Amino acid sequence: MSEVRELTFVEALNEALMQEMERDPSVIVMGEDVGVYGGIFGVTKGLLEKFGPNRVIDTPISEAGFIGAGVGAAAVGLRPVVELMFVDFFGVCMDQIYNQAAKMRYMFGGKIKIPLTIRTTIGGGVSAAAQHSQVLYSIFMHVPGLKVVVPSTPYDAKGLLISAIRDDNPKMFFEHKLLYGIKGPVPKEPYTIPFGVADVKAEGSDVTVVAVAYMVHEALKAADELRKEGISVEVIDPRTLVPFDKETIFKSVKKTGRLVIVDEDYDRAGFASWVAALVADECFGYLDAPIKRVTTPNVPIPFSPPLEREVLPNAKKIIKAIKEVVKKG
Amino acid sequence: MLTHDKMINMYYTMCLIRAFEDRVHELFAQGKIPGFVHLYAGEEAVAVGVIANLKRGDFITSTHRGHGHCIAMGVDVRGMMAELFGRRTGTCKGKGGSMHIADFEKGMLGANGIVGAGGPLAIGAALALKYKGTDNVVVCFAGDGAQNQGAVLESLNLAAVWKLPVIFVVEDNQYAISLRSLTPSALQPRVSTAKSVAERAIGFGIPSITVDGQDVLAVYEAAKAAVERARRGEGPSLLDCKTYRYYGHFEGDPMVYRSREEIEEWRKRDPILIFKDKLMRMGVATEELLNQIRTKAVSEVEEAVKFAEESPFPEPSEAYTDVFTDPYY
Amino acid sequence: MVVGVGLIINPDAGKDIRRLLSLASYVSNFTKVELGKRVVAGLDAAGVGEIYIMHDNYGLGEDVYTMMHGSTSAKLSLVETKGTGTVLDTLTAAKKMADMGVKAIVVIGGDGTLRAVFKACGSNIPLVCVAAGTNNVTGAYYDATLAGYAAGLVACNKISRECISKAKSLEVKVDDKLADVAVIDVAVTVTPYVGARALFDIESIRYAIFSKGEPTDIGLASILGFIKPVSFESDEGYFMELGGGGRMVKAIVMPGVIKSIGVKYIKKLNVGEGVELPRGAYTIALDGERELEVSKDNSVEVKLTRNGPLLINVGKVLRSISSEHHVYWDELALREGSSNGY
Repeated sequence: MSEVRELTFVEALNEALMQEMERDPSVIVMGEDVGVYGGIFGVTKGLLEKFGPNRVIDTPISEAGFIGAGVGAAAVGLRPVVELMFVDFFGVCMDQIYNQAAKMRYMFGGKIKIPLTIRTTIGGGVSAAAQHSQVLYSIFMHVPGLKVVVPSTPYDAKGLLISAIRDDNPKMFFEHKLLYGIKGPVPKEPYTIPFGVADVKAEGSDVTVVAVAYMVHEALKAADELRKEGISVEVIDPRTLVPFDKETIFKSVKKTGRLVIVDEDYDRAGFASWVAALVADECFGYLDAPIKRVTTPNVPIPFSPPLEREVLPNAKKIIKAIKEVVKKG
Repeated sequence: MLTHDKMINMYYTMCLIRAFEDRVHELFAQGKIPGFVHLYAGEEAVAVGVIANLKRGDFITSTHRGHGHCIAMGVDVRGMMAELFGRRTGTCKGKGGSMHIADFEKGMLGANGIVGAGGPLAIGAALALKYKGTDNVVVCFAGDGAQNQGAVLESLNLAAVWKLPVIFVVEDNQYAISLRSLTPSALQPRVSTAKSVAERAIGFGIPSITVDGQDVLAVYEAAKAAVERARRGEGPSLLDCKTYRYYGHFEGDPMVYRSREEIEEWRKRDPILIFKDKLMRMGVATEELLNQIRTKAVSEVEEAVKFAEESPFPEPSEAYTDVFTDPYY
Repeated sequence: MVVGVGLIINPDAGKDIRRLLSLASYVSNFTKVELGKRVVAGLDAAGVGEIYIMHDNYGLGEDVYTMMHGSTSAKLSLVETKGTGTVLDTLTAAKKMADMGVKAIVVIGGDGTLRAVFKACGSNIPLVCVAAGTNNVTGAYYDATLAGYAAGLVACNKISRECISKAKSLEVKVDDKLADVAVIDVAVTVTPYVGARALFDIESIRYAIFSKGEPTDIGLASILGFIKPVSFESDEGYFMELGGGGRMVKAIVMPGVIKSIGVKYIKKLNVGEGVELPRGAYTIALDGERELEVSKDNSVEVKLTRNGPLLINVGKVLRSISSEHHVYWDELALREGSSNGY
């Protein structure tokens, strides 16, 4: 039995990278400030010292260049883990992600594979304003050919990152900034978590709440509050958005008859809307109340703390939404 | 120095590209080939002269005008033609079409529908080759128009700072769709203040030369010097090859931006005729033999057309495969 | 009468394969535009009335025209070419300039460019070459303003004719017909094809014929320069057979590339004298550019002549201007008896 320690989210990710780089020499890490600096959030700390500059490559601020280089390196046999400092920066390198990495296998008749992992940070709550606070995973879900991974705990972070590195497809791996400091139990030995398997973070019977990333924690807070009022909330974390575990959600909705989806992405045409559509298609007859979505309104993320608090989803907003659907039932 | 056999092979490959493109031109006009098709006729000396210097384990990245590169890399023309016809026997099972033919086994990392996108891919492939410790190289083909794409400029920088074994081959066919790379007319704005794209590479510290892209032996010698440097670990270089495309930017292009006379003027310096003349003068082959070779190329293409026409279309269910290495989509 | 001068800027000069095989600099087109502007300033200062600038594919001439237009007394105009992007543009422009009656042509390029201009306009128009090539035996490393100024003074006839001198040339006859002409050297290589044009593989040379070569030259001329220096003015030239087994001579064959070359045989040629080459399949390079492909069936003769380009000696021109001032001050000093106490 593997030793289990309390690690932060950052430490768990770091350990995953260390262990995979040790295991497989084809794993390389590249990105802005990943070497000497150790990554601006410290995820790649110590890798350069251990694996040297041939495997841990500090790149110029040149995302189209080095994300694309990750695709090219993956195409000829490496397993690059490329760090895009903030998801907000994808705009300068999107072609390499959605037209190159995502489509090559399909366009080339399934004869090749692109085992590329793009790690990036997401999320608001730190007054980083409109160009450093978005989550945007919905955009990557929208594009066929990308796997989308959104861990919410240190345990999931390590297991999912190891799975991502070993997976033969292009993956977008999203790390919420507010999660980096949280602690949780993490086994020392390497382990994988399969993609497309949701995790029920709290069991309940009155309402199903689907949440990802930092919102899992806000949903759990809401569940704790509501338990005092006698409302039993089931919190489901899909963990990967592509592939997506519909069945666990359908099963839960069939049990509770109510669904609230918490999504830090913009409201319009986002992850929450898609889940709502899936459930409406498949479980309409089981619903006792309209599906509610708790999302970020369609405005850029503001800088000033009271403004930012206004727009981002939180436990309070989740509680309000849950109470509405429970009342309607 | 080039052996006679090798020169004859190069001549055959040039004839094969020309025969393929001329035939596709006709087939497109007859409505037998769907979609967007960009033909390489007129530019054969560049692909063939460069690729004659490559060996197993070397890679190329290509462009939307990629048929010539594919053929020079030894991709089977039957599969290519079937791909253009959208057949299941195509190089990419009919999923890519003209703009997305790839054959990694042959070192062909893919034609590309996005102008300049091959730059970062070449960087990544070269990074991987360097990491693996081989003396293999990557050739990045891109047009004159692509030289104004940020991704290409980023690639030049990365190749220079990482001293990668990349040879940037600029196929200056005089037109970036309708705009002239040189001498714009009064109504057409300049696309670049650079007096030659080769100048820009110099700014990155990449040795850069201008090459007569109509003379396959000139291209061969220049590429030989560039490839040998790269194999010795001396880093990237750029060849600015001056050439001309006989057909439009795409099939169906009304070509309002240039005159018949201009095309005729360039056809006087046809790369196949120039090479044929030289082969005869050097005593490498008789005119009779060279004519036979050309006829053989034409019949190989005819065979490819037959193969394509007789091949089945893919089953509709095949639309759903090859998104990922696993069946999920 | 208005005096006209031509300006030819070769966009392709200084960009050949030797950038990958030697330490030769890349001469950027932006630099060439700056050189061109300085030439125009020099020509204008000398009193030239019209400056004809070659229009090229890259718009170098056009840029010089646009940027200098209106700021000179001289009238500027562009000389159109077909814009082939090849040496044909230089040949066309030089021919047109000669037909317009220019009194001098300034060339921005290397030995290859100067040779093309010479071929098109002959031995009667004074030429000056501003070094912008790989090897610059004919080119002057003076500032382009000085080259322009000197060419302008020559064109305006303000300078005695002894500041210009006719160089030699090497006429290459294939099967008794004049096939081409070089200014400095002819190299006969065993490479069977022209390839990337510029001559870089010195080992491939079997025979070389020189009209000039000094120890300060680089390129093929360097070989002669280190054995038997010959100037443009002298009436001799040399034939050499190169290859292993001969006496080794160190020469600077390309920028940054110093090689030991075996010289098996050397023979002096006088102006008017020719040498017939042993038959073979060769590619012949003229002034460093592989141009002619010949087979065993062809006879090849190379003849040293005095019909080379009329070259302006920038140093001599400018010194002669300064000597005019000397005369003035010397006379003044004589008239006033003594200095003013400085």
